[in-house]
Amino acid sequence: MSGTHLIETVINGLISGSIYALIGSGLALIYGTTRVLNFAHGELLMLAGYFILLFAVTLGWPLILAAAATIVLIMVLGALLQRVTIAPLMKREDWAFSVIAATIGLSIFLQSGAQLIWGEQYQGVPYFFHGVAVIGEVRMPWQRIAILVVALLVMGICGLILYRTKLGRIVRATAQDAEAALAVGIPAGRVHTIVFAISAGLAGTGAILLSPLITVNPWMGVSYLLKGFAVVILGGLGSFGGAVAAGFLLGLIESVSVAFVPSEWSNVIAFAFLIAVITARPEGLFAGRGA
Amino acid sequence: MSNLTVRSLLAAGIFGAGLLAGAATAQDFNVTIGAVGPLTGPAANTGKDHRQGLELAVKEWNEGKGDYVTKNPPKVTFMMEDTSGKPEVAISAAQRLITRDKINMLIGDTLHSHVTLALMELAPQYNLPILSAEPVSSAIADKVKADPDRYQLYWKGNWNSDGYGTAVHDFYTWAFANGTVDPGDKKIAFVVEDTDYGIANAEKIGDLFKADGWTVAATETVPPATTDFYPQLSKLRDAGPDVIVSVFTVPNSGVAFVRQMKEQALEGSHLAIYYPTKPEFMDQAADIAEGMYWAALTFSSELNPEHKAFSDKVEAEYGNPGTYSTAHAYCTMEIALRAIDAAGSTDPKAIAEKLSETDYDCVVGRAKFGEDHAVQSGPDFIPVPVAQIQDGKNQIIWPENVATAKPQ
Repeated sequence: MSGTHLIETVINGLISGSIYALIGSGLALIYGTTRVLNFAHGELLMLAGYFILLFAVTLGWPLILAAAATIVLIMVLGALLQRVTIAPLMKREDWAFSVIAATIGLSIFLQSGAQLIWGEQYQGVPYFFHGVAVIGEVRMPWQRIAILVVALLVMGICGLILYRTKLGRIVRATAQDAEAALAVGIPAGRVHTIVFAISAGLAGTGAILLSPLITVNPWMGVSYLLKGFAVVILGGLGSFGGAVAAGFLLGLIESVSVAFVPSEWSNVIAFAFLIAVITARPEGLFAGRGA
Repeated sequence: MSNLTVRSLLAAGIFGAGLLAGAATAQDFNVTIGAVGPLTGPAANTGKDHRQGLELAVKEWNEGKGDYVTKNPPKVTFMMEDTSGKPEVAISAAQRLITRDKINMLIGDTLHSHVTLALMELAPQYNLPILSAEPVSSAIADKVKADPDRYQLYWKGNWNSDGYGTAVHDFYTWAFANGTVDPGDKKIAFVVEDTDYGIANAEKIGDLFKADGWTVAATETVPPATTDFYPQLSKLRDAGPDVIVSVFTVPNSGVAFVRQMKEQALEGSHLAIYYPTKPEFMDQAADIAEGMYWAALTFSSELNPEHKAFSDKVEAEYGNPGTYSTAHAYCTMEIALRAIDAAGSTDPKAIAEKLSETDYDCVVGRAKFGEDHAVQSGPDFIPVPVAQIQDGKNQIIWPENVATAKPQ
């Protein structure tokens, strides 16, 4: 393996990992606070992909405006979905499985709805950042570099909100004990909705960064959801920081494995690692750092 | 009333009764055909094209515009179920069609080889003729060759991977000989989707190149619909292959691969298989794929007036132009309908026998089955021409006798 290949392998792993971290941290935030496994999370990413396509390409808005509108819209939609589908179910005693069923149903509904509305076609979004950074023999498009930078920035802001603000303390208090939080005047239901909105915002950020690379289609969220869940388990169920770290770790494992063995083994190695972690440390690598 | 009039009335009565009897015979011979293909999931755009092609052929057939074998063709009922591109879903869908809708013949899978490998088992199980549409993998024909009795009712409506293998190998042999492509250190690499289709193509092409003294530098298989190829491309850049072959059925994989190849400034000749047949690929990547070779340009409404007429017919019916997949599905249904028409009944063995006798010129070429039950490819049958994207448009560059442009 040449030095160039090694450097590119690490950078590629970090870039893939940043997307896994964005998706996984959203899922972890929801699970950590509400104990809900949201199987429709990938579809929020997909819808955000269509929103950025609409604003940035069809309407031709400037990138910043289009991105801001996409994130606001997807956060509102995330909150709305929580209020309409999940919140009513959580009032029941046996809500755990009904919520899983509801989010799976929601996922299928949103995929089919997107196919009906926008069709089966793969719709391209132009690169937002053009050109390729060349350092020696290492080549990396600015669009991919932007993924890493923006993802780190957004997750950093989320981390700051979660660990350094009053809102963050409220969220963490609700995560520890929703009933006790309610007893001291914290509106747990509203906190749950806010968490869904933040999580949708993270998925939306992922969609904005990814859409130029993967093209927008009704199924674009499916594969990322699987990786997102892997990250949540690896990082420790419900741990925001753990999910971020696990996302980068998973990306690096995949990238390094492709460098040394045929690509078909990449997922096998990544998920074998996941199984090994679950066996040795069922609570995940970074458990105990709950949302 | 004169004797003449009585005789005339009698003759007219007998003639009329004969006509009615004939009509009754024709009406009695109804046939129900089912199809399964990917109507949702990453390959749904191809599944939609298949449905349009299949439906259009049935519509024309029932409206008296079909290319019939007999004077009393059957009336056809058609229905299609979704597979999502998954074998287990396809089996359930096909079983529904068989047991609930009592279909007389199944067309499936319309796209995927790995789904067809599962579906073909239903032919002996339910005594049902099955004709697959686009699947190519030689693994399907290998199963037929290994047990022809078991698969006597299964037929493969597309050529085998050998067709692609031979075309790609023969094209490059020609291109090396005339200096169009530099063979360099004789290293070939593959980036293909992890399906029987992708893997079989890589194997067949690799074997032919290895026989010529080439080495396979890498064979990278990725899940269908993958869009991040940077880890694979970094690896290939290190390996330095002289020829890179990519195989994907989902167009966004192709768009991403071609774009990322360019960003990584990979040297070496690149030949793409299948995905440039998709209109989305040319819409999104024609500029970045300039100069790329690809196979097989079997359908081109820009270069072939017959294909243009077919595409226009599809557009008039559905509001979108016809593609290779629409045309292939249309031909597959025509082959099925003509076999049933020729069999004169829905007897599975009779239909299979007539399928074996198929020799039919359709919009994508001449369909004739080989001993392995697969449609044959080559200059005398369905051609497998290699194209190059020149100035944003497809041009056939090989074989020379059908070339529309010289390679650049």
